[in-house]
Amino acid sequence: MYQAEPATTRASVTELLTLRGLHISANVWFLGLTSLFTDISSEMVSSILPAYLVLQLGLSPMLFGAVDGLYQGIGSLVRWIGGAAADRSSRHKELAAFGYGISTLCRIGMLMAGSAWTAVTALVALDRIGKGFRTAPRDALISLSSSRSDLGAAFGIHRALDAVGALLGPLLAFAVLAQSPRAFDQVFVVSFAVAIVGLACILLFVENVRSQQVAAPRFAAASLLGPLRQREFQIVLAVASVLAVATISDAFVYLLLQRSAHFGPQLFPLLAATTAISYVLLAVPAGRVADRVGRGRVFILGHVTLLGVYAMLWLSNGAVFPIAVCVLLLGSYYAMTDGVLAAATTAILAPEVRGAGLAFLGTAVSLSRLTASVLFGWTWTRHGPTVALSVFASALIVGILAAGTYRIQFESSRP
Amino acid sequence: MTRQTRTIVFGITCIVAIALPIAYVAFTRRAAPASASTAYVPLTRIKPGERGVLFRSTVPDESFGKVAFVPLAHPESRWLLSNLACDRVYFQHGRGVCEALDSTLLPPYAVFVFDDRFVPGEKRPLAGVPSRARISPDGRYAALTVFQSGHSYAETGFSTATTIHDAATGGALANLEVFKVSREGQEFSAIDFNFWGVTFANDGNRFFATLRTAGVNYLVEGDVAQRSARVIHVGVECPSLSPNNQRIAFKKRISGSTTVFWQIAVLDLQTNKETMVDWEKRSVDDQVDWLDDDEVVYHLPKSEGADIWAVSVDRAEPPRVLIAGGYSPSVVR
Repeated sequence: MYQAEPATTRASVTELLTLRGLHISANVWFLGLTSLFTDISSEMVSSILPAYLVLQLGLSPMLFGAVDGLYQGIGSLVRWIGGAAADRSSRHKELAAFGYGISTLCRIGMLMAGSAWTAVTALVALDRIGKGFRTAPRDALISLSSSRSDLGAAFGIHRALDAVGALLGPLLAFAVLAQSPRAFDQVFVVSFAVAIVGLACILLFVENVRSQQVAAPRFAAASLLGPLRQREFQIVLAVASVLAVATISDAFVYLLLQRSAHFGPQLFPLLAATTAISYVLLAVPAGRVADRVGRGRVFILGHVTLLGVYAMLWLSNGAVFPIAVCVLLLGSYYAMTDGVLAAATTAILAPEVRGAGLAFLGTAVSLSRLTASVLFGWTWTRHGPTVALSVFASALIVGILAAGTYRIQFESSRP
Repeated sequence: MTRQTRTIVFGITCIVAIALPIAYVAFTRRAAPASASTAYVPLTRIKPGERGVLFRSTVPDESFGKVAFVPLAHPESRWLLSNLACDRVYFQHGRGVCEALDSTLLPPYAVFVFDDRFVPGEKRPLAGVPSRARISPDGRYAALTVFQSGHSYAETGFSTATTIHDAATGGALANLEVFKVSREGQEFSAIDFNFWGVTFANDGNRFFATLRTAGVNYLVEGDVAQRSARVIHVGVECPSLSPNNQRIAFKKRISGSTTVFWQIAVLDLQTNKETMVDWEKRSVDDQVDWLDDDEVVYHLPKSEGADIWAVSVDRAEPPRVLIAGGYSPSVVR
């Protein structure tokens, strides 16, 4: 896909795996730790929520399906408010901490909600609102705390710590349950305690960064829609959305693997964990490579990796090897796209519109993914998994080629 | 705040975070009620022809979580208590099936079958949270439904998996998703097929279940040997076939804007006529079981645990508590 100069490649090999030569702000580390602890806390609860609802409260989790669409809408709106508020006040830390605080309160709320399922539903929704609200201010602060040349590495570190939390959460929850079966209340208490530590990380150690040019008071519309008028941002938004529409969701990837291999669904957690581990290990190196060779290139290369995932799904005959390669590639795809996209976006946005810009991007990508899931499910239903896979692979190839033609503009994000 | 102060405050936060769960466990353990022992009679065997209700106890004493039995002749008599701990239990024709939380597995759910002397067979992992369990009247098959949560970080949706097992060993025979389904004579299939709530006919091979796809709940009639099923009705969840195999009791979803309400209803298989059992005014989220050809039993949650209720599907009489503190009733005929 790209040709790096040999000298650059040789120099980076040793540096990639270490953090040598990097200037990573304490903010990035502590925001990463905040995400790590918060993710442990939230994944603890979400991994046992079905069991809690069904076995402890005697409820049917089908109750939750109905409000899912509502979450999407509320999530987008709240994300936008969080981003815009960060841009206008430049109090990113307080806004992000507010979002983390909401989620922390939800943990203790679970303990008090007891058997009132309406309260449990409300808490799940409120937790999501907290998550939606904090994302844009936090990512904007990561970018403002990092030098332009290290954005990929900074987001890589944050995403790796975040993913470690998501890995550890379910393990900690099941460890608590193994100690005292049915002690769901103890899981909530431990989850609350872990969330407090995360909240302390951001409140005590993260500091706001004043951007050089003090944002003059603007019209609301100017700061909210400002990023949309920037051509480079339009390209990133379009490229990310188009590629996301051609992305098969994890759930379907695992389902396709399961169909090919006929293994029991109890192996799903293993697939998800392997994906996450490869993501954790590759997030920082991918970010560093992106900083060197261009974030647009790595982002597109990440989607070439996704094409590799599709190819393995195609070839998969149920043997262990293609399945392992498939989930490792899936983790690499995440490593090359998630943090890298945030880095690419923030690099081209002026500091005072980063929050709103990130919110737009987040909404566009999540809507595209939703569209992709609906389309994939529909195609599978009508024409079978093979046709669905071919359609998505073709769409991804077209998307990659289209993104490649825009690479020149995308690459202007290069330091 | 200086850097040093912040570090000290952080240290204190960490200590509080560690102390909090420890204090909580210590406090709640002391607050737990002393187990009022009600000297249960040990349940060692269900003899052939013995009629009664097998269920899970939610009484907060030594019986909690264990499988108990009450003979139908004397429902008020002292419970017979087994050593098996189950979240969902069902028993028929000398064979039982037990779905339970098992912290040694990941995901932490297991299933095993047991015989009339409550000797458990091989423990097998379950793919999700136990939801429904049934055994065919001839004791040949077991059918299990579990909930699986979304596998992706961003998803909250739930799906169900329903499998047919050999009731003698507990080994899985087939997932209902591989069954050939037809609707109005046409082949019917979709990726979002979700089955739940199997109920077997007296021949042991024919069964009914709920199939959900594209937001609609269908009632299917299936054939285990043929691995096939066909849609016969709409709007039926958790069907339960009456002992004479003429009627199906089920929970009917009454649409509400924010709340979900399930009304017990009965479908006559001859006339295809639905009757609402609306003298049970509460929402029933359970797969009901028939006590006889007139009354159905089901559990309803209460502030602590649950009770097993019985209501006639023909006579508009108020429901009665059959077993206080019981859960997951299985009528043993």
